[in-house]
Amino acid sequence: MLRVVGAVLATTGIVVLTTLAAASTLRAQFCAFAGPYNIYSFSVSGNRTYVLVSLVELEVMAAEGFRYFYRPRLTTEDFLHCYDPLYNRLVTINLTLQWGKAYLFKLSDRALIEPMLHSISTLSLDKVVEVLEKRALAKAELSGSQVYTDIYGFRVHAYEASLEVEPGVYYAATILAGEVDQNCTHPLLGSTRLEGSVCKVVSPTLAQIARCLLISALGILLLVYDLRLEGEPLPRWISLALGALRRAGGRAGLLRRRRSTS
Amino acid sequence: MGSRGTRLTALAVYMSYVFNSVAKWNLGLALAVPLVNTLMVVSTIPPSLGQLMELLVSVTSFFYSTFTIVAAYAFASDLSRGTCTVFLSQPLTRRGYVVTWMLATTVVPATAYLLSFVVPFVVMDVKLLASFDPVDFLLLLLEGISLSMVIFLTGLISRRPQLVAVVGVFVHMILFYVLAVAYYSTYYYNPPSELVAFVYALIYPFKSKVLYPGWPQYAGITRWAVLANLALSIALVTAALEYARRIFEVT
Repeated sequence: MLRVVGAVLATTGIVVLTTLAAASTLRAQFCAFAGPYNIYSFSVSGNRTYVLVSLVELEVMAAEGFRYFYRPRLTTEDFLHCYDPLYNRLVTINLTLQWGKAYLFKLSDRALIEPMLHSISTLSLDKVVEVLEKRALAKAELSGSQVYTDIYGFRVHAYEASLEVEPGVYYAATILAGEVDQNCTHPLLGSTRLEGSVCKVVSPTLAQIARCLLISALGILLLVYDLRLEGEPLPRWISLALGALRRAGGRAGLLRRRRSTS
Repeated sequence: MGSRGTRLTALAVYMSYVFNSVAKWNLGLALAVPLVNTLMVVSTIPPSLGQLMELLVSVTSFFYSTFTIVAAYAFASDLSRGTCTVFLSQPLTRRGYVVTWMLATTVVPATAYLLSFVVPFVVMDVKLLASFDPVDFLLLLLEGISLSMVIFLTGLISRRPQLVAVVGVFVHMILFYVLAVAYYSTYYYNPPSELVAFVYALIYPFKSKVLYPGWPQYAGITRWAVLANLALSIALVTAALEYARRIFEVT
């Protein structure tokens, strides 16, 4: 039974290490769809309503060696019901934003969001960064420019960025900001869907590599112990490895002795 | 004492032979399951972590089932070819022979599967293990052992490897889907029938809990079914041992 456990541990450790290394070497990005997300709206002033469409805080797994990137691929469906004065009817707008730009940060702080709305309304990307960094939540990285859509007087702006909350841990959120004119209502919840894809890049840490090697070594030890116990010959590769270790140990001992005598 | 020592040595030697004969499948399991588990954990995005175990088990249990079927097939082949007579002419009791193969077809695959399952998480992030319910692991073992014992007993009594393969595939793969269809055919509008829920949980205690969480009112039924499965497993092991002691003849 010991040899079964040993063989499984040895193999598993090597397999996990190889898989992680391969994933890291290939710089593989694993993506999946996420959503729908929460939607909030804020009435800011007069007959202009600013709609904060999406608010996402990724549940970040703080596992070592994992980094998450939020890559928004935003689509909104049945986004707004607007009154169309030309035909005197309620029109449902299907709005699609592909690869919209969004900014990412921990958006649970409402006090942070409201000044952001003003920034967005003026479309000042620098201002957004400034607000973020002033709040000193974390280092903010914004990328890209805004997407601009104008249908029935509705404008959408979205940003993309990343926020490193602590080393290796990223929080992500997507935000779209829209200006809605007085002819539109915004039923929002239930009628709006935002989808994105979350991508993960794997980079095994030293601790993970060490754990893999340790588990494999433990497995090989158990295997060797069991084979010795049963008086069976060791597999050739284990004999070779043990021989190499012995030779290395012998050489190291010889060097030590020479140094001590000199 | 001397004779007992010789018998134990013979048993240990025979166990080593049997474990070696299923070793390549054991290694196959240890290669495939961690590979799939690691890739799936690596590619899983946080929100779906809660359903990670369902996902992993639904994919990797196939390898486990295959291993148990292959091990039982090897056992039945050993009986049908008459290889066992060589060993049983040595101081190896019939019961020892059966116990050795029982370990090789039930405990070894279960241990190998469990280790292949747990080690990737220990390496990547031990905290991931906390998201799994330990009861799930126990049910997984219980399900694996009871199903393996059904296949093993088929091999022991029939001595026909082909029959073992057919029963193995039926129990692990076909019956599971048949019951799933029966479960869902009544599930859509109404709770599934009590009988279907009970049979499902009796045969597949783990899958019924994880893959198809039952209706709350059936929690009691599921509990009874799990206990019945435990009793069934014990009964199957006892039956195999008694069969080995009283009826089992080497021809």
